[in-house]
Amino acid sequence: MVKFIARRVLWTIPVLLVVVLFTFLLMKGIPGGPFTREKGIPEAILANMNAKYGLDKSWLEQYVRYVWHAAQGDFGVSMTQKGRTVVDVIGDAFPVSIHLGMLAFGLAVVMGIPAGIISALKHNTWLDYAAMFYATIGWAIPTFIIGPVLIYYFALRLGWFPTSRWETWRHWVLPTITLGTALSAYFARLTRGSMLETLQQDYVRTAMAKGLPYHTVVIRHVLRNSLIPVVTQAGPLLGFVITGSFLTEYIFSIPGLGKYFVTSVSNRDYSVVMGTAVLLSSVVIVANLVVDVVYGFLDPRIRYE
Amino acid sequence: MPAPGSKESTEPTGVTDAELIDAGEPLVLKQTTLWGDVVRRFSRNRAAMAAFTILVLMIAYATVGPYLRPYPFDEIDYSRAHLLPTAAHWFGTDMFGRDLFVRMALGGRVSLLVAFAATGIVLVVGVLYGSISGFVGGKTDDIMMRFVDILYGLPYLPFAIILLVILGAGIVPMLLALAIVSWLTPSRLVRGQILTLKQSEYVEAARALGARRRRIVFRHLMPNTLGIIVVAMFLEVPGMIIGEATLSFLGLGISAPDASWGTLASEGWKALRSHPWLIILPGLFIGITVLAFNFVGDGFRDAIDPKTKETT
Repeated sequence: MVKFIARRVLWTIPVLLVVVLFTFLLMKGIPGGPFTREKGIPEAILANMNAKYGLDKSWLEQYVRYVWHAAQGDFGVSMTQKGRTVVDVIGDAFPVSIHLGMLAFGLAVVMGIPAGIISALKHNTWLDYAAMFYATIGWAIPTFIIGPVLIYYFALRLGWFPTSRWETWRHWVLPTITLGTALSAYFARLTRGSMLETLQQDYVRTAMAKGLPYHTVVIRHVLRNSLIPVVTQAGPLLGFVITGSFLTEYIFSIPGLGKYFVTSVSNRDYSVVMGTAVLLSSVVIVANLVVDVVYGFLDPRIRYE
Repeated sequence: MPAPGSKESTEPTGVTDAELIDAGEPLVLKQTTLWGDVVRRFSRNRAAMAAFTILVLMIAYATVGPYLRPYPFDEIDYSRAHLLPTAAHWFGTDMFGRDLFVRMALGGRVSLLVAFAATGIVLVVGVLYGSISGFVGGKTDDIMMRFVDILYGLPYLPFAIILLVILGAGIVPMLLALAIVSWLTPSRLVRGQILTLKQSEYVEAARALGARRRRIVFRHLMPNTLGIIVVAMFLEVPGMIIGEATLSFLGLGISAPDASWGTLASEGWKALRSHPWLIILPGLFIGITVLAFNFVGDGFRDAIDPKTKETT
């Protein structure tokens, strides 16, 4: 097991290096630089500014320097926000994104998993149909429709919640629902499918036949086994939370990573874009790693692959 | 649909005698093909058939919609701006008084075209990459799959955004960007399927009978991956529709004079305070289309492999 984990952890290093390289080359591919938009800058000053940020070196040199500094926790300074380092910018924005993501994830777990459990236990009843109707619709309606509709009714019409920003709990409600709805729909479908499969297993029939009380069988035998696939889906879901939070942050003007990312790309603020991309990639890679390890614990066969 | 390898198809069709009696068919076993079965099972699935009809209607609307009404898509007339649906303007009008029935149809063209084209690219790349990796195996497979593993570390939306900025705004950059970030999953899927099939008994039998590699690949492996590819296609398209709409909504995608459902939603978002209809309309179209694709995809999956039906 230790060997398995060690191998997986070591594997993340080359992955991260290549991901940084890809991002780096992609950024070089974007036409224009951070200083080309300001008209009338004399050539000499432009050259100096490029030199100051190391943009006059070859891309390989820039890449090696970037990785070397990044490994020491130095991600450079923002090229468009004067006097702020990338760590400052991300340090302000990332906690907000995490906060939003956690709230939405929490909502999804609290809504989605019970909905899935109930609809599996009451298979083919109106409860099942209602839960699945919710899950189907919730998954199909895009974030950028749910958000504006919620804003229209609950913020503009009824005035219960503010339309934008991220300060008190009143600000949190609508973005959380916007991001959490699709996620809870996904959880509900996943849980239901997994529960239905487990309910057909022989050991469940055996437990019933032994005369164990229904709720004991459900809690001890069915729930435990059917939540495994739900746990192992965390990786792709995390990707979804990131994607969804970009839009949610844009819609509600929340000062999180997504909002900064979009503005930084259009301002050609290479260092902030690089920093954000590296951070998000690391999050995805670490999530995949955790899922692998958890899966390895749950299913010993994986370890010997 | 021409059935690949249908003449000598010897696979079990998955039809039991009981099912045949249920269907009121004569008990004499007709020779059925894999694809004949799929079509028959699919056409019995009412939800999937309804969704399929909606899709056909949606495509028809996007194709001929603009010719059904006498309004040019770019005719500006402020005297009739911001109308809700009326007898003259079936879907209402936008802030410039342009007819939304016409604009939604044109937007649907772009949205569906981008989604289909991107899905097409993704499937071709995925099938080639996946089958080479799975069939050749060994070191090649190892290296190809490690590459996919690495790319899996890239978060989808941020990279689509960077790619779009590099490639520029427009329809072709949009579908390229979507394709570049989405080919990984189909590749893995196809490789997995090829690996399983390679070890199946009928491939072994074919090999034992002295069939050549080419025959095994084209007669046995490829036709049997077609099923999951069709399902993957129907499940991939809605993701593409939402991806395109998301990027366009953020203002990074399709730009004037072209419009997609995403651009229309983005315009509606700016007018949300006064005219929420402008975002509800494209929202409905995106939602309905995505739902319909999901239903058809699920229906096909159940029709191809009835075993999956019990648990999903």
